[in-house]
Amino acid sequence: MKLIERIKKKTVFLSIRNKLIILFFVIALLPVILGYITLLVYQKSIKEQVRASHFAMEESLVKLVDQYVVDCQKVIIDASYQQTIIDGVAYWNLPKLRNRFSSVHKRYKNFTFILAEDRNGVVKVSYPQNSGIIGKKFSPKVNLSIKKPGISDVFCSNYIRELAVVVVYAPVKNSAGRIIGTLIGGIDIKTLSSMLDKVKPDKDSYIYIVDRKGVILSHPDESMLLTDLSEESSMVKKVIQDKTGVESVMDYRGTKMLAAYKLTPLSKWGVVFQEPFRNAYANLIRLKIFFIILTLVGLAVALYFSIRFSSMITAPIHDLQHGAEMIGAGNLNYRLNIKTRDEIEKLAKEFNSMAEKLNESYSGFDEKINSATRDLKEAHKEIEDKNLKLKESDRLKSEFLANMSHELRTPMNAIIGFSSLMEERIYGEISAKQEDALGKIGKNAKALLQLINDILDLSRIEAGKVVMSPSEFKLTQLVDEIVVTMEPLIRPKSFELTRNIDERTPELFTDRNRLKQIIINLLTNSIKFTKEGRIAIDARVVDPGDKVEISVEDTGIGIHENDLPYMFEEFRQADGSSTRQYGGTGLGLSITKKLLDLLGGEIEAQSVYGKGTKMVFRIPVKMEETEKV
Amino acid sequence: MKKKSRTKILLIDDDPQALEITEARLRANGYKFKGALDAVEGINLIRSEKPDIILLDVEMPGVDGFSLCKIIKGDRSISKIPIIFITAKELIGDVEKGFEVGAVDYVLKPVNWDRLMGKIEKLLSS
Repeated sequence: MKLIERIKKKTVFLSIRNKLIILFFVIALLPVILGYITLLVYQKSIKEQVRASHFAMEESLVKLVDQYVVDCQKVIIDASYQQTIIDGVAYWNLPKLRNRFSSVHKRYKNFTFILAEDRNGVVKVSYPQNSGIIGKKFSPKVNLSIKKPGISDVFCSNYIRELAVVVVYAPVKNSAGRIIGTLIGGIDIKTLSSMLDKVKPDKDSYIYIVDRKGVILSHPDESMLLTDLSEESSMVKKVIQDKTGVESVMDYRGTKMLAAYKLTPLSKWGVVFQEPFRNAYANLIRLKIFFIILTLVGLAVALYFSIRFSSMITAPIHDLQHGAEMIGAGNLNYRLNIKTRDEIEKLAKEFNSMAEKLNESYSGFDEKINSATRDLKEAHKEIEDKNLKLKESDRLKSEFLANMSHELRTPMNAIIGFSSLMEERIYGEISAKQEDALGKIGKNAKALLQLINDILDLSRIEAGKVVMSPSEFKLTQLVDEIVVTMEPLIRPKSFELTRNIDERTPELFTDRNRLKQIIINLLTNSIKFTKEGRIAIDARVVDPGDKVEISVEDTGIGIHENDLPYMFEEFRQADGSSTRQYGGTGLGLSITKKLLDLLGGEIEAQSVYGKGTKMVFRIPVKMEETEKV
Repeated sequence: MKKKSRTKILLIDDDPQALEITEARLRANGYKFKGALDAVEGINLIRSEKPDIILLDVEMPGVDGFSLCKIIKGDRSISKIPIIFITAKELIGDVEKGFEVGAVDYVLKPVNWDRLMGKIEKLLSS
């Protein structure tokens, strides 16, 4: 079956439709099975009924046969006591006897012939007239007891036309009680047969009769007459043993028959009544056929409706599946039209609203993506434009810086140049007052120059124009170098400069000039704001050997707590007056901080106002290449 | 080594004040001085005077200091004369460019005269 093959092939998938069909079919099969069981139960009782009625027929047939034979016997026995017959036999008055026989024969139609024998068994007279048998022995095979009346077995006689002959007989006695002859009547079996035929239920049924030895004396098929069935047929064997029963047998034609058998009680003949199975069980067979047809029709109808019903249930599910596929494939406008008035219709509605929402949100998405893309493109273009402008303005700034540096330094060069020429008396003698003034001009010019240089430095750092060029060097050497450079500034002051570089400090790999500039800046500040006491430069390795901490501590004027947060901003000296008092541009610390940023370092200021300041910064022992700008 | 009084130093600078100050300084230190205000005048003066040292400004109208330096280095008769740039121009790469075109030093304005005189003396003695 196709379905089973499919189930075997892929056990994973069995459609709901097929499941429902199987389910409905199984349900439909249930009453069929129940019906069949009922049928089996009823069949047994029906069979019993059939057998019972069959046997009832057999019994009535047996009665008929027995009655017939007993009647025959009675007539012959009666006749044997009639005086006319006794006299006729005593003197062998043949006409008288024949006359007598004729009247008996006419009165009782049960005899084919009547005849009389003498004491030696020689036929003396017969009715109807049969000259062939007169003076002969009736049959060498048949030994009739001459003393008592009886019924012979079936036999064949040369002198009688019938194939099978059965006779009843009775002795004829004279008044002295002496047997003088025998009266014999041939039983008319054909009449018996036709009588029985009238009683049998249908033309296919038949009755056959065997004598007490089991030899057939009556049978619808004449060729079967005189056949000895006492050995051949177990049924005949049973019946001559006075057993009764109902059996199913195959008859001489090979037809299956229902057979009943019984021995007649008086004549001891076996009567077998056979009815074809199909006739006996006609009702049962009809019932079975009806049941089978009903079952088949029922199953066909069940199958038809289960398929229809399953399709009806699964069709909307198929629609749903199809819809899901369509939407899955991106056809968001697809809508389901399911009107099943059940959960599936609800599901379809939900499905449609889901598709609706998807559609909305998708079209929304498209819109959003498009607008986002547009925005992005615009932003990108804007950025590009800005970048171009930035590059342009950067170029302009660099140009401006170059010009500034040139344009500012050129007049500064003239101011410093001429004032120093005069101060050094290259242009001739000058007064003390003039010398003082020229000294002030030079000092201010240098301060202005420093300011210009600082601004340029700061601008360049901010513009990212400063290139870091790291190299390997020893910190102690650098500090020595710085102290030597600063010597002229320290010498006039009355404080002590100490340095304490931890000897475990490894060689540094960083921008030497920038570090130098940082330390000088810090040192310059300390020198500037310290009148007496001590300035200390300390260095040690921190942060498991990755960083070096350098501090410049002084005993100078210190910084107000309030001012500490702003120390590294441009143009922030403690107060406006300090610039005049101490000089400097106010840019030193912010340049220092920016340089430290470039070196990957950080700086911190600690101060107690009036006691001194400690500037601490840390830089990586090895500058990372990415720190290069 | 030439006598100081015979040593001739030439400055080409478009700023006349720079020429004036430098002349005063150099003469005060006993050097002979020649000055020119632009490259064309300068190259002619170099060729005619054959100075011992050339001081060169970078920013000049027309031919600038770097180009002039290349011209001098390209002229065999004067290519051996040492050149020191004296300039207010101090942008990234300028100093490197100065050495690249063949200068022996690069001095920023305003000039530290003590240091410049030291450099000149060192140059002449070598």
